[in-house]
Amino acid sequence: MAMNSILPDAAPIAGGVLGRVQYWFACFFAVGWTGVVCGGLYYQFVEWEYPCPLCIVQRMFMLLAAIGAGVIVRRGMDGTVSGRDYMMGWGLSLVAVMAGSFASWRQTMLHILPGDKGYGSEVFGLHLYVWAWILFSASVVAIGIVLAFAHSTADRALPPSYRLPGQLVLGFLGVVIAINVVAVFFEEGFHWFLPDDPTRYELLYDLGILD
Amino acid sequence: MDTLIFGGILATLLAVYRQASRTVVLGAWFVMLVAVILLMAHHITSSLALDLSY
Repeated sequence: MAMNSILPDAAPIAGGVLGRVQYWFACFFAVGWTGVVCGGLYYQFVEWEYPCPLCIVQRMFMLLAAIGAGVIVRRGMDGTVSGRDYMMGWGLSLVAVMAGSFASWRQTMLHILPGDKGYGSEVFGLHLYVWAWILFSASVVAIGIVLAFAHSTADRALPPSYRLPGQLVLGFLGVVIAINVVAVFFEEGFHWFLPDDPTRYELLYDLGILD
Repeated sequence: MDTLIFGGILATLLAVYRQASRTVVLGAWFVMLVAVILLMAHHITSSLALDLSY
């Protein structure tokens, strides 16, 4: 068997009807995690809750996972996604969701004992970090399924019309990361770390706007 | 630190968008991952004290 025949780039340039599933799933994955971070921003600015340090860490892992899928989305915008690109993207996302799963598990365990009310609001009966743990774990399974069916879902050639959706996905991700840069700067101010239980936007006090 | 890391994550996305070399993208992404893990470790200051027997 020739060596190049077992390499991913030897897969068909364009497969069957399912050949573009991975590209669209990468878009969904990136938008999905970005949307989850938007949920955190909703509770921060609409419900006026202050995200704790571990909440912020989980947002970072979510955005790193989205960037992994973003690698595939970006390559697809130019019409060619190699096997290396698919593997690199999903590999990065897998590492990020595993790390995020640990962070959210840790925060869940902090509040697992009977009588502990947990940190922040509940959504459908579960706290945000419990949902994060569920979604991180589900993402591991999803990436496994995607990789298992890569032979028929990962076309190397994509149509030029995929450029616009790719730009929208990466633009959405970029805007949400930028909002987080500003939001956490306000919460942290000119300090190296967030307090364990934040109760105010430190920057406003550091600048003397509030006393 | 959190602000700097979010800034680094934004820069990593820009590297992806601008089609920087694979080495740059992988390097930036993993530097950010290590930074977030170190930040998480900084905030883990005690055991869970769940009295687990295993």
